[in-house]
Parts: sequence; structure tokens; C-alpha cells
Amino acid sequence: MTEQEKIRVEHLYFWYAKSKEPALKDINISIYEKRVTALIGPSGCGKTTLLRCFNRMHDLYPENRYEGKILLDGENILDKDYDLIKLRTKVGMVFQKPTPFPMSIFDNVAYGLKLRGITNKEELQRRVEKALRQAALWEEVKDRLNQPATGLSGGQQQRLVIARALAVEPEVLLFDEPTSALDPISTAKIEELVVQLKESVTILIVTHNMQQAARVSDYTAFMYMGELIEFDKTDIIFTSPKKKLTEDYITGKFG
Amino acid sequence: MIYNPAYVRRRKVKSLIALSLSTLAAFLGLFWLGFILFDVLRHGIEGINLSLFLEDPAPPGIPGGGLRNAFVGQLLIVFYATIIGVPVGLLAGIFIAEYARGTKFARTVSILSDIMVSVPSIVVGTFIYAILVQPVGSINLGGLIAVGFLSAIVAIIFGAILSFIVNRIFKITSEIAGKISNITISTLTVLFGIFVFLILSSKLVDKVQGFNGWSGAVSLAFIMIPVVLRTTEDMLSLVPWTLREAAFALGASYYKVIKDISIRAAITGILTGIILSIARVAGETAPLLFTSFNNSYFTTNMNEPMSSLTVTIFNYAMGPYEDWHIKAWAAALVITIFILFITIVSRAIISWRYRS
Repeated sequence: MTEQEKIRVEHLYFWYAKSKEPALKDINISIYEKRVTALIGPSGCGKTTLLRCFNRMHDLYPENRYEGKILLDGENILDKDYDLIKLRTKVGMVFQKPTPFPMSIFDNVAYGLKLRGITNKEELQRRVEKALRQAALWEEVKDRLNQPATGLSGGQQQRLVIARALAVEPEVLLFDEPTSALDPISTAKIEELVVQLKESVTILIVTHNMQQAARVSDYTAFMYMGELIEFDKTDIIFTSPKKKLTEDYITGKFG
Repeated sequence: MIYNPAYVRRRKVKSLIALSLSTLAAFLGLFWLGFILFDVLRHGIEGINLSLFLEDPAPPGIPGGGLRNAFVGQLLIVFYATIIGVPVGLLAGIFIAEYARGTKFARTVSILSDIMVSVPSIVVGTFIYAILVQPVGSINLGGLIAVGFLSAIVAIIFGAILSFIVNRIFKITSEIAGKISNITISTLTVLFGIFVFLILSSKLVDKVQGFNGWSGAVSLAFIMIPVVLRTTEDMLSLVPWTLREAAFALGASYYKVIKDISIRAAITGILTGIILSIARVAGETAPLLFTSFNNSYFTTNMNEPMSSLTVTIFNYAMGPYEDWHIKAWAAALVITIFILFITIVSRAIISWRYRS
């Protein structure tokens, strides 16, 4: 099985506004196409910070600063001229807490499509249905598409948000601890979904839950204090890590 | 088990005393509210009849006539106050809560509006008197300022439309072309603003002198602006930031995020704030005393002195005629019902929104 490189991070440093100490130090990592890569590490290690570099979410806050390169399909997305709208079309994101917009279920999923200028009703309908099916939510909501999305359960909301991200057909999906606010059954559904989705998209997932990383990911990156300690195939990280620090974390000696 | 019956009894007595005192205080407040409403109703109902709404005042001392001039004046003044005050307060609130979020400027404006909310309304009236009523020489300075603001707003809208059109047609990508088009559009916008200012000031300013309805509307708008601004800001701040991030992550621009996400999520609170601010100014007398002043005749011309219910109540209640007193009570009843109605509508919006 040949691995195609989708994203390559080269010597990435990142500083939050007004902080002298970089939150990310010299990160070098390859993210492979149509694979699930898990980012693990103790709280405050920089895994979410790294994840939010991939769609430049940090740009929302003035004075945040990057150095180094993130190459997506060979293009440096940290380049000042790189179009953020294009980036966020290619790279979707799902957050820790479900973020349904204050509108109907249908409009939630159609929102990204409308932002991209799709106004044809039939096309919207077709794409919304497709996305909801992909997110395994269609059967549960098909009769109440016009009801407010906030009426759904937490797990359904999270799948709705995934459908919303999928509707615009991203190439990369970022998951920021997508199940930490959910019950075990909803968590299992999301995990199942993540595994299915890698047929079509490249997935990066930040998780606190090591079993989850072991279950869903093909590759795992272990981070500590803003540095990437070890990156390898998931089974290698979990069975024979090369670094002592990784082993200590995996076996629960700290974290 | 640690159980001291005497101590527990003492605690129960204390709890009972606290409960009785707070209940008593609540009933005392409610009693006076009910008393005032009942009194207004009892006295006011006497003067309520069709001619109150349809006829203009009769000459002093002669019974009959109505308060049509005051009803229409009140509605016009409050209407224009809303037209002026709500957009300014709303947009400023959006600016403070969204674009300028967390900056020193935003905090300063926020604190200043808190101060403005508690400024006595008569001070606002005096201020407006100084800039809009009392002419400076033969020029109405306040009128010039008002027209200046108006032209600026018109010019900004013009500039926005222009830049939108230019961007649509030319699809500017290079930096130099962008700068050139920016400079051109800015220059055109400024010129257009000056043009609008000259036309408006020649047509409007010298006609607006002395007591006039506009100054009353502007006084009330001044009271509304900080109220609307603060509620809008507070309501927008309650919208979770992650909701906006989620929209950004889908590739939305900030304008889209504000329009589709923030405002939508906060709309109930914002609407309530607007309605309550209308209720707040509808009952104001002091800011109208020396701005819109009073007028015994019916007028819809905002450039003339204009009658309002609140000032009329004040004048009629102080007057020597029994018939005036009855009319003042009736007007008080009508304005009370109006404000009560507005408040109930805003409550209904809230409960309707949270049910669905």
C-alpha cells in the first residue's frame, strides 16, 4: 500500500499573541492522504494548536504568528497570499462541542454550499441529502429537515456538524476532540463514521482518549510541551514506541 | 449524629423572618404599582372618548375638543427617534461586540454608554437644545452637524456600493490595481458626500430653527442609542465564540458570520432591547420640554414645534381648568397602556422564541 503525502509540515513554529515562548516548536510531520492521523498528548501540549494551523483558525486573532511551512498539495498555506476561503473549502473542521447554527437542520447543512454560491434548489437538496447520509444522520432527520437544529441531541448535533463540513466536499477534515462532550453510544457512532470517511477524505483527529486513537487512526503523533515527540504508524506507537516519553504516556505514567 | 434541636429551631425562625420580610417588600412594591395603575385607570377612563383622539384642543377654558395633535405628535416624535436611534445603536453595538471585540476602544465606548444611560434625561434635552434649537448666529449649527452626519452615512453607502460594483466588474487581484481603485473610490465617495452635504444643507438647514419636532426626536434618539447599543453588545457577547469559529471554518467572511450567525443567535435579545428602549423613551417628558416644546395646533411638520402626550400631560395637569385635568388623566392612561402593551409584546417575543 503506497502512501500519498497530502500535507507536509516543515519546521513549523507558532506563537500566540504577546507570548515570547512558541506554542509549537519545530514541528515536522507528514499527513498521508485518505488516512486517519491522531494527535495525542497531555493537556496543553499543543495538539489543538497544531490542528488549528491547518485551516489557519489562528488568523482570527491578531498578532498570532507562524513560522515555517505547511504544504498542502505542495502549496504553502501559511503564505500571506494563500486564499483563506480556498483553504477552508479544502480543509473542513469539527469542533469539540457541537456547533449547530441557529437555523433549520437543512439550512445548517446547506450553509457552506450557499457560501460557495450554490443557489439551485435541487442541487442544494441533493447535496444536503448526500452529506446527511454520509454522516449517518439522514434516516433520523429526513422528516424534520425544517426544524431548528438546536432541537437535536448532542450526538446528532455533532453528526449534523460533520454533515455540514462534508457538504462542501473537503479534502481534509480536522476533528478537535469531537467526542469529548458525547455519551459512549454517540461516541461509537462518530468513531465508526471517521473510519468510513477516510475512504474519501484525509482526517486529522485530536483526542484525549488513547483507546480512541488506537481504534480509529492509522498514524499517531505524540506531542509534548509544544514539540512533536514521535510520529509513526498507530500500531507501532502503541506497541513499540521508540521514545521513552511516548511509552510513559501511552502506559499512563503521566498525562 | 450531631443534632441540636434548639439550634435548628432558631435557624427555622430566622428563615421564616427572612421569608416574611422579603414577601412583605414584594407586596409593598406590587401594591403601589397596582395602586398607580388603578388610579390612572379610574381617573383616566372618564376622559376617554372618540373625540379625544379625533379632535384638536378647544381654546382654554372651553370644554370639549381632544388631543389629536398630541397623539400624532407623540407618535411622530417616537417614530423618528426610533428611525434615528435604533440603527445607530444597533450598528454601534455590533461594531463593539464583533469587529472591535476586546479592544480598549470597545471597552471605553461600553463604559461611556453605561454613563449615558444614567444621564438624567433633562440633561440630554438641554444638550439638544443647545445644538439643535438655539441657533448660532443665523446658522443652525446643530442642523449642520445633523446634515453632516446624514451626508456621511449616504456617502458611505454610496462608497460601499461603488466598491462592490468595481470588485464585481474588474476582479482586482494585483496590489497596485487594488490601491489605485481604493484611492479612486475613496475620492469619489468624499466628493459625493460633500455634494450631498451642500444640497441638503441648502435645502434643510435654514428652515430648521427654534423649537422643532426633529430636535425632540433626536433627544429621544440620544436616550435610545446607549440602551440599544448595550443590549445589542451584551446579547452578541452571549453567543458562544465557537459558533462563529465554526462559520469561519466553513469559509465565511466576518460580515456573513455576523449576519447569519451572531445576529440570528442573539435576535430575540436584540429585538427585546429595541422594544424596551422605545418603551423607555415613549414616557419621557423632560427631553421634549425645550426641544419639540408644545403646539396647540395639529401639525405633522417636524420643522415646527410639536405637541407630545407627555408634555401635554405636564401642561394640562398644571393648568387651572377641570376639563384639562380630565384630559391629562386620559392621556396618562393612554400612554400607560401603550407602554404596557409594548412591554408585554417584548415579553411575548421572548417566550415565543424560547418555546420554539
